[in-house]
Amino acid sequence: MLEALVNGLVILLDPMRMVMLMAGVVIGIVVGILPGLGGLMGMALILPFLFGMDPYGGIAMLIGVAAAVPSADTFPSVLMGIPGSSGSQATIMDGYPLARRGEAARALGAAFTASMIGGVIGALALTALVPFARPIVLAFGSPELFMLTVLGLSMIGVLSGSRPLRGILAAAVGLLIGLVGGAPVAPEYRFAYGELYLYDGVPLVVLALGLFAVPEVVDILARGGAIARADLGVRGSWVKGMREALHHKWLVVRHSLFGIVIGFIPGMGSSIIDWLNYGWVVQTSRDRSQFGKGDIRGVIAPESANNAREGGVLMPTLLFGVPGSSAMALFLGALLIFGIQPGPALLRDDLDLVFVIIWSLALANIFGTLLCLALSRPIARLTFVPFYYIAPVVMVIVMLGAFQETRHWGDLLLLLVFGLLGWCMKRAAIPRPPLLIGFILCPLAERYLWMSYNLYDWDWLSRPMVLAIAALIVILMVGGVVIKRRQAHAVDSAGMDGRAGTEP
Amino acid sequence: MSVRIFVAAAMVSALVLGINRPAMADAETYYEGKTIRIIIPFSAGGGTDTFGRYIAQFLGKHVPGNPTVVAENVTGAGGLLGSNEFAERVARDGLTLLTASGHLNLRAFLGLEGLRLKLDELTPVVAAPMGHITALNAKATGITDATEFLQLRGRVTKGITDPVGLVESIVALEMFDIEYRAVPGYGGRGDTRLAFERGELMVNTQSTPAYLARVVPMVEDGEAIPLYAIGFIDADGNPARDPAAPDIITGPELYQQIHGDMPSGPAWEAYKVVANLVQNTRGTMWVHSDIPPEALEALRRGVEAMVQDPEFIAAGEKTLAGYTVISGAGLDQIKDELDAAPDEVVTWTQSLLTERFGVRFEN
Repeated sequence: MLEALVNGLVILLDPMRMVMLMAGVVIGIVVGILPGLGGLMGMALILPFLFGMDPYGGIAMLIGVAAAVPSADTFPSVLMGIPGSSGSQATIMDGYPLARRGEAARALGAAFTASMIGGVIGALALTALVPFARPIVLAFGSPELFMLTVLGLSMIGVLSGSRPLRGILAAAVGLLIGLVGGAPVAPEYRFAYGELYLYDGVPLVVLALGLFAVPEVVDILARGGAIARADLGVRGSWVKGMREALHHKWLVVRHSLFGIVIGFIPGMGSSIIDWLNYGWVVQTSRDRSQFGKGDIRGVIAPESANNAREGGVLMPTLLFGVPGSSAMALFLGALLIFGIQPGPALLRDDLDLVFVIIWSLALANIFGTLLCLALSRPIARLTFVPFYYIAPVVMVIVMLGAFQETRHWGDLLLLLVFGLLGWCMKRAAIPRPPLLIGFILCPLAERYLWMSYNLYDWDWLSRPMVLAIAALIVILMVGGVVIKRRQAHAVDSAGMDGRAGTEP
Repeated sequence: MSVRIFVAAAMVSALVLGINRPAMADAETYYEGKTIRIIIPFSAGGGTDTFGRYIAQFLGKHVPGNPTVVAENVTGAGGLLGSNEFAERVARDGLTLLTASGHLNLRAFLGLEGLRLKLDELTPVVAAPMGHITALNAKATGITDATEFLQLRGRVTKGITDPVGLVESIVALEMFDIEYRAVPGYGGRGDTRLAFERGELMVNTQSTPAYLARVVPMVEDGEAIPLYAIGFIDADGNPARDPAAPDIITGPELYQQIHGDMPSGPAWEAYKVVANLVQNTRGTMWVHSDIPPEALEALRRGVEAMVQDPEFIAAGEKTLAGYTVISGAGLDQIKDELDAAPDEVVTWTQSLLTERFGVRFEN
């Protein structure tokens, strides 16, 4: 294995392949910055050019895209509150409030540092876990996957801030929207009304852009001025953000590992990973008062996880030929173009290639985040430019991002509908993340519940992993309530001089 | 020297013949300066996409007039959006082709609700085969000999993705008259294989390349055994081995080993039609039959030249996974088999899918 480790690096250090890797990173950063476009789009762009290319170079390029996107998509998430891609939604929760306080550079600095460390940890973990990957992946059957969706749903309370009831309402609406389209366990189309566009259900990117991007653009325009409130001035630098990320090093490590593990398990999809991480950091923090208002930990946790995730989702892709995310499905296709059949045989016969992939991942993460750090100062200035200069461009990009999903006019119509819904929810102070989570988890929950029942009747309820995850859910929920009570008590006895409510 | 003279003479005579026949001459110039658009109704990176892009890469070089060839993924509704666009909204000028999968062809053949593609109005330009192999989880069932397969007892689980997409494996189980429990909800064949490896599913059918790469290691560890290949049906209606896995016996052969006779009845009739339809056309490039004859001729010539191109053959070794591209007479056979398929097979397969899985058909 050590030999393959060195071989992999030697193969990759070929200058042409390094150029390809860098090209992939640059493409990844561009599609990452554009809201709505993610790794899937970046990979689809370069796929046609892969025929006849050097396999190692082509793979390095694809990995470059995959690794750079979750770093670069932090820009729109932090600067405008617009999800940069479906994997970077949770960053808006605290990153955007920081930008509005004029601390965009600080948020970006922290995010990129966490991304870089997370990405490298992802690559390391991939190396360390190669021998154990099979048993871990095989341990998650349909019943275990169902329990993971329940774990995700249990975080809705935490993500609803001080209005849990409204959060649950929003989540229910999300679950309802998730029902549209082909049913997961029957050849039946629900709420599609014979409209072919709706057969595939509502596209996640369109929903996310509608809910978050459109209301934000409208509200900033209505308020006038720039994204950052001018009265606060420029505060915090990216060096400060970097230092904060390093200060919270255990948080970075913890969420990187969590990101890898969830990415590892095929069948969960990657869009839920950052929300699970965000929910977890909120649930386990003693002082929750600043979450949603600009707590740097709310940026660090999802950003560590979403870069580390790329290491995780590679595992099932390489080992089982089962894509861990939609971008990985494309990567799988690219491997087939090069005549590489993923599967357990790959680890036995072509370990060099596996290490080329791992090295590409590590190097692309480092290059990608350094490039993003270099870009963060000039780009953060955008938050001080009067927004009416930027708004038309942003709207065009958002619409383009939505439209590339299926290139059907329905995308634009839905963007409008969800934009209106998002704006109403924002006005009525109904939290929007629960809606998104309900939407993402709806088909998964339904599918895995039915499959568990079909496979094992009700016996699945007594499987050890199911019970373990159930216990974890209870601990997280009860623990969260206890911590909150204790904190409220402490604030009371300290005579209300806590940090809560001191926001200028 | 003499060979070179012969080739030169042949080329000159071909040229003369070509000029003498008007349709032929038009075929030489029809695609000059034009762009052929290939609709791929599935997302980038999948098997059909890979095949479509492989052909797209070489076709322009060989079709007379050297048209530009562009492949475009028009995805949505399981291939319905792209297929319907091709069926209803493109000009019949030979400038638009459709890359279909075997299962998309089957959907059109059976008349699935919502799909407007009519195979009898189309002509195949080029196709590629791919076989399928069914394996049994030896660890979970305790069966280690394929001929004891019918003694399966208890919960025989088979993972279902989209029933129409698994039809060859379902029809095979029907032929063996196996009682099984269908578990719908899997996202794709990869997911079912993972569940098979986990011991959730007892029987599992994979494409032959996927079987060779990912199930064979399980077989080597004694966790699984190969049961049968779906195999192909030759022109006389007899089973033929899968060229990529010639050592694995076909379903009908296994049936004969167990029962002593070849299978018979509606399930076997359906097997014969479905096996070839799905597997011979796993990648098919279709064009409308009513395009100008010179366009059809130019495409035919282009494909004939393309399959001779050593670069095309070398690139295909990987993409085609051990199979060879079907052109010329092989395409005529595909068309003939489609035309000759008895109506009873269509109704029998439709009612199997409707009664067991609730799939709805147009007629």
